[in-house]
Amino acid sequence: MKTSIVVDVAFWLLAVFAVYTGWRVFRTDSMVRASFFLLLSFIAVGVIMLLLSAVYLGVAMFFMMGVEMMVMALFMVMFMMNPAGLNPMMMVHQHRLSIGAGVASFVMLAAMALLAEFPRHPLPNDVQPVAALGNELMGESMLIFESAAVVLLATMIGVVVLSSQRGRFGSAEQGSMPPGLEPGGDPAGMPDEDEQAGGHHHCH
Amino acid sequence: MMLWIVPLLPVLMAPVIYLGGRREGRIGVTLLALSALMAVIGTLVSAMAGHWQGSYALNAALVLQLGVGPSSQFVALAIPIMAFPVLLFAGAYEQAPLGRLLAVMVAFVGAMELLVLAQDMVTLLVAWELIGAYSWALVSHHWRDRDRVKNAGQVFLVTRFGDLGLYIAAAAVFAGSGGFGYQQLAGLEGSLLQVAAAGILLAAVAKSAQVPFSAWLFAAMSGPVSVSALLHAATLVAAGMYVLARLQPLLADAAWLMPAVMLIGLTTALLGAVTSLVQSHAKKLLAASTSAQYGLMWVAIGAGFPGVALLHFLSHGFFKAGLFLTTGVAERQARSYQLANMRLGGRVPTIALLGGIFSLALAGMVPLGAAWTKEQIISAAYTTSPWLAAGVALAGGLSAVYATRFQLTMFGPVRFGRTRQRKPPLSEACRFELLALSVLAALTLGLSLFWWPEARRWLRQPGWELADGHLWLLAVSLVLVVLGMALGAMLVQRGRLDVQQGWKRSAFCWWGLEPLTLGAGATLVKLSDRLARFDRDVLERATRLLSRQASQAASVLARRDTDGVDASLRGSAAAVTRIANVGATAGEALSERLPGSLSGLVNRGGGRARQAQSGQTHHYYAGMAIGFAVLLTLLLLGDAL
Amino acid sequence: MTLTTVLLLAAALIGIGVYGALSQQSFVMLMMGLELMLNGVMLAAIGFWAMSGAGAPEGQLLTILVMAVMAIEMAMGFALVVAVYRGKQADVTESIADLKG
Repeated sequence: MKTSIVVDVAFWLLAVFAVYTGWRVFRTDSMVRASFFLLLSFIAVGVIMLLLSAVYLGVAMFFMMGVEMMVMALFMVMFMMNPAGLNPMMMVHQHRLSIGAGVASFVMLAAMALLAEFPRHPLPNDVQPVAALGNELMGESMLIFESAAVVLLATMIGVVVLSSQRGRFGSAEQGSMPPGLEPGGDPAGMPDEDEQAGGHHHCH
Repeated sequence: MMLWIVPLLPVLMAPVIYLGGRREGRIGVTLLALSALMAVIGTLVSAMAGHWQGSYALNAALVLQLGVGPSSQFVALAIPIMAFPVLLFAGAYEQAPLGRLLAVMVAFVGAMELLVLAQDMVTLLVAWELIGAYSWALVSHHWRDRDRVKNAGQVFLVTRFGDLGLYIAAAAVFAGSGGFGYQQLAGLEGSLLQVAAAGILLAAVAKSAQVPFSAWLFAAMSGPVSVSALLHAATLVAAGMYVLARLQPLLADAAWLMPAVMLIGLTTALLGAVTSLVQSHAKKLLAASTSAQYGLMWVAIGAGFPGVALLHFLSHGFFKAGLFLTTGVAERQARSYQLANMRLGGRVPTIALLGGIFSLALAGMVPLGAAWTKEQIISAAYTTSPWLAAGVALAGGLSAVYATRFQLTMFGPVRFGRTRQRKPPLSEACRFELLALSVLAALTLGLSLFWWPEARRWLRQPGWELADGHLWLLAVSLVLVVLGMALGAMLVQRGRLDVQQGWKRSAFCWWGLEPLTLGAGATLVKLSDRLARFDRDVLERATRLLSRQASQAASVLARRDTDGVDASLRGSAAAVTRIANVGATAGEALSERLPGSLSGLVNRGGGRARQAQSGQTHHYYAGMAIGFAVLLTLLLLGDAL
Repeated sequence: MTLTTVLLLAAALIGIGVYGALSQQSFVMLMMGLELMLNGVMLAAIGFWAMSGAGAPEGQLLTILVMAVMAIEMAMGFALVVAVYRGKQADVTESIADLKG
């Protein structure tokens, strides 16, 4: 695949941008800003996909990620104590190990990228990526595509079940409590408070 | 044999100068030191005219060789010429004890000559060790100050770490060919060649203060100002670059080496320029810029033009020495190296003018010689790829930014745009200091001859390819330089670089390399301390015990003679009872302890197994990541296992 | 833009993602790390499709599947976070250590 210099320059700029924004995700104080940084990183990758002539996927990336990051931002505002980033935020554990693992995985994958001999079969000139993909989805790989659809449907149902406030037996807070053995009694099968305090060993 | 005079003369002169420093005054010592340098230059010139060679056979395998080649004679001449004004300045400027300082500096020049003229790995190693030791002595010159000694130790440790590479390379050459000469290096093949190239690269990176070892230059700043000038212009930092330039043609078979050299050089040039831009300490600004400029020379070597790198080394040496010396003079006026306290304004016009010449050279402004050598590096890089040339041109533009900032903050008016406070002019430097600075400025200006086509014809010698310049490259890089100067002036005016925040803070300490180097040095010192303690506590005690036992045994033997017989009777009886006792207790202990220890082990193992179950997602994730890494390594090593 | 450079970028994204997934305490940030890893994976897949797979449509299909997996992972993850938050008022991983031995 011979690329023109314009494409090259664009790729490098986008690559640096994607890595930079990806890094900033874990370095900003504001959670909303973090999700937008992640969105920017994804958009940069989407544009690179367009450059690689995967038109459909690149565009799908924009739409999907745009919506997903909005949802992310909403969740951030819901769950985090500091969505606006007014005070500094650094909530990490096992930080050194994580840095080590990140660097190690990068080094390993980069070594593979640099040292492995991959076959060189660039795109043919008459390739029509979108049409080919459509034919594949509705032809050869129909079964896979359909199963993915079913799994997605199952996911939706599962998500609704998991997160709905009201279930068949009352609201969500009660859902985690088993009913009593006689009406109005204590929940069955729950250990008493004092028993919980005594009998356990905790090893650290 | 005559060629040995060149390096040995200054080394032998050093004790004379040191003793002279105790008797003679300032002028006498300085004259002694300068005459030693003159003698070196004289012998060198006659050596070049007579094509002297030197060799000294320690045995059949170890032959120390010296020789003059095109690149070595150039550098060998350049070093004393650069050192001359620096020593003159040191004689006029530095505090006592002057004798020791000048003696070590002269010896340093001698060791450097040895390094440049060396024709085999052993001589190179000897010289390499010498310059390491001398640099330590020079940086810790004011040894009463604890911090300075600590910094000198750091410089020594970091450069020592790189020296290991040279030892490995020498060993590889010997393993491959049974000799140590440079010509044997070219004959190496296969993995030994790769090992030798990697070792030489490591040594050169550490000495030449390239990424990731750049931070030691900051520690080296605790030496006196003339020492910094000498180290940066002519000696220590140049050694790494020179060794690469000298051995580059011989290492052509190691295909990965030259791209690596180019990459390291360009990275250092760009990072060093930014580091230099945000410094608040005048000497550290210059130190970071040295790293960056040597990075440019590395790019030239990597592109296959060692001659271009050496020319840039020459022009860089003159102006960098000048910059350090003017900084020294300015420090005497402002009482500190902090740029914030400088702004000497129009109060030292002569020094400001000289500093301006050097800064222009650093910025790479036409018509100075430094600009031409920088253009050469850009053209050299262009032969490899236009991207590399663009990177070098960008580094050149950045150097224009910090050169402008240096000049304006050091000698600029007190505040731009405001009404100037009239302060009385300060006393300028003394005559000899001015003389030294003028010599350097004259040499810097004199190198403008590079732009003259006739001079270029004279430079083109065998083994010295010059890159073909392109007019548009020159135009682009000049535009970058002018833009850089404008940007530098603007930044100084706004005072943007005096605040350290965010990325600036990380750039300020060499992108985190400085604390890293410090940490590594501290751990090393601690480790050696531990080892020493182990030595003292364990090994020494063991030897003492042994000797004590030996003497005891001897006395026992002596006594054994006197009361042998009845003691043996009694002894056998006692022994029988003792054996019986031992049998009883040991048997009991064995039958008791074995099951006990087993159950203890099981207990402990159970505890450990429970600990792994922490209920924390991130612990499980980490476990997964580690397992994944192990799997991948197994896959990677699949063929080997 | 060669296959190697695309894969290097993917490796960098995956590395940052691993760092995030292992180091963040908050559930949502942890998921951002996972997302970033999958981002790198998709980029690598497309790179292979475009430069090493001669444009075989299965490459794009694989990427679509990765995208679907990403959506599933996100949706289930958030649902679980909501459920946990309802039950325990917890939004950092440290606060659920029920499985501790």
